[in-house]
Amino acid sequence: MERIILACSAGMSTSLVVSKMKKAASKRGVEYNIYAIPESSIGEELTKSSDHVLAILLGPQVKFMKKAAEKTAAPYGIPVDVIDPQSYGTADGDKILDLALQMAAKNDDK
Amino acid sequence: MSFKEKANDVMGSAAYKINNQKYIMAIKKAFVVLMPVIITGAFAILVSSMIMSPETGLASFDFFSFLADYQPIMKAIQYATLNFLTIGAIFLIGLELGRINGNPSYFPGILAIISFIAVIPTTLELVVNEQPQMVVDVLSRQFTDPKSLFLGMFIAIVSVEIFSKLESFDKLKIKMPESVPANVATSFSALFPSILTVTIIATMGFAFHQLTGIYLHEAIYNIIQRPLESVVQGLPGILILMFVAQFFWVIGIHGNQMIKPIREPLLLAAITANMTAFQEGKEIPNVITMPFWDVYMSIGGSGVTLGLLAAIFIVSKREEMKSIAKLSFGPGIFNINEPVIFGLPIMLNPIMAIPFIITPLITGTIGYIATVTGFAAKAVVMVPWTTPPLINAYLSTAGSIGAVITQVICIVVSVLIYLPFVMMANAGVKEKRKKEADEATSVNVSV
Repeated sequence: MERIILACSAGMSTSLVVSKMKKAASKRGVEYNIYAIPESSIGEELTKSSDHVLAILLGPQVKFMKKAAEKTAAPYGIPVDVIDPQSYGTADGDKILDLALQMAAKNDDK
Repeated sequence: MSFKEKANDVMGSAAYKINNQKYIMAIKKAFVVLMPVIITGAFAILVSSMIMSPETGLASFDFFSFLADYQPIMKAIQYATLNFLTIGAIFLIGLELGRINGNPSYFPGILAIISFIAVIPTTLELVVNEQPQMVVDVLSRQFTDPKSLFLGMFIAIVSVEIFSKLESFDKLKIKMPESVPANVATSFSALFPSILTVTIIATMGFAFHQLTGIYLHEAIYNIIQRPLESVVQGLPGILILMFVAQFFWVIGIHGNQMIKPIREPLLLAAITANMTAFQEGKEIPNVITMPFWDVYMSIGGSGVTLGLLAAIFIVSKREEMKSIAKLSFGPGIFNINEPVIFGLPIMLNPIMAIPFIITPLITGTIGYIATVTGFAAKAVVMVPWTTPPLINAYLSTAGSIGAVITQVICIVVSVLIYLPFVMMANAGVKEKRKKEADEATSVNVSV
């Protein structure tokens, strides 16, 4: 299954967003493996397996780690972006899922 | 670039630099891994004091008195976890730093432990029957428990740095013929660097003792660890630390992440010392500990936002604020509050930033006064930061009702602080609606 990885500081606050995204996906009749990890373990996660990762989304509270995360994900060709604070705070699953899919589509074009 | 953006940029890059500093990364990662160890120790202490203790536990009832016989099991667990924390920290810091330096093997961790043992005395001077006795071949507890944490962190960093540097010199690598398997070859290539590293560290410890007459561990404890401990044990020190964390949050950066490298070693060492003292029935030394931070200064998450949620439920007239508060309540019970910080938002919101910064400082002061005067007991059990309010106050103090009451007072105070600001936000929206309405009418008029 295609994966979407969310990363924040402990992987906890993001789990709320994860469940909303899953709901949004199932409403659309699609299924993705969406899950949250701590930002510091992105590297390990990708070393384990980097197959079928559509996108990595960072929580706004670790926005400053974007450069580092991009560097980690670049060799695998996985796009990284930061979720905007508003949709993160309101746990807008639809909008964040859109963001992930747009990132993936853009990545495919390249 | 506006001032706001500029400030954001500067703080952002500062945050990036702090977070990517390799020693900070290694120390932070080590403490994340150590957390279950500390919690295991806390579990042993809870079981021991609330169930097996013949004075305070279930075993004080005749029917359960047999439970007291099993207390040594819990004491063993407590010794193995809390009094051995420093060794775990040294290994993990060495391991992580080695990884960052490009050596992914376990060896740097082991090397760090060896280097640490090489600088501490293994002969103990004891007074037995008023006669000074030298006891040889002992690893005394002060070197494995948090009292030596800073020495351990220092030795782990220095030894792995020396090792990594030496490993990068080609001349020190023993060359093997190509027929030798790769694994064998790597173990040989680390040979000279490890011999040299341990020799340098051991010589350094020896020379320090010879030149100054005091041991390295005493020097580091007295010059670095104790002054730092007394700073965070004072109210101003902890308030400044909290202020810095809150300030980062306000601009949308994970504040706790920034102060963790200082907070974690000190406050975790403080709670560990309290747990040990509690188990031994001695006087509890530290007021400010990791649970103190969570119980009084971070109720419902950074900024005591549980009070904010309550204030919104009570007076807010803004639908979007109410719906965010509803959404945030569930995670808030477990002290997770990113939805409030980013959704409300508190981030870059001048109205909400004020109570967000001052509330934890005030509730922290209340908690401090309550604890110092003895109304609330000092924390003696480590509980995870995600433990819900009231439960965390009760458990961390091993059942102090005073602590629970103090926490309730802190919650009430936090609601009172947030109330006027939520009302201000109401007024803001009224004006905005009025303005919009005015504009709409004026547009109609012009049409």
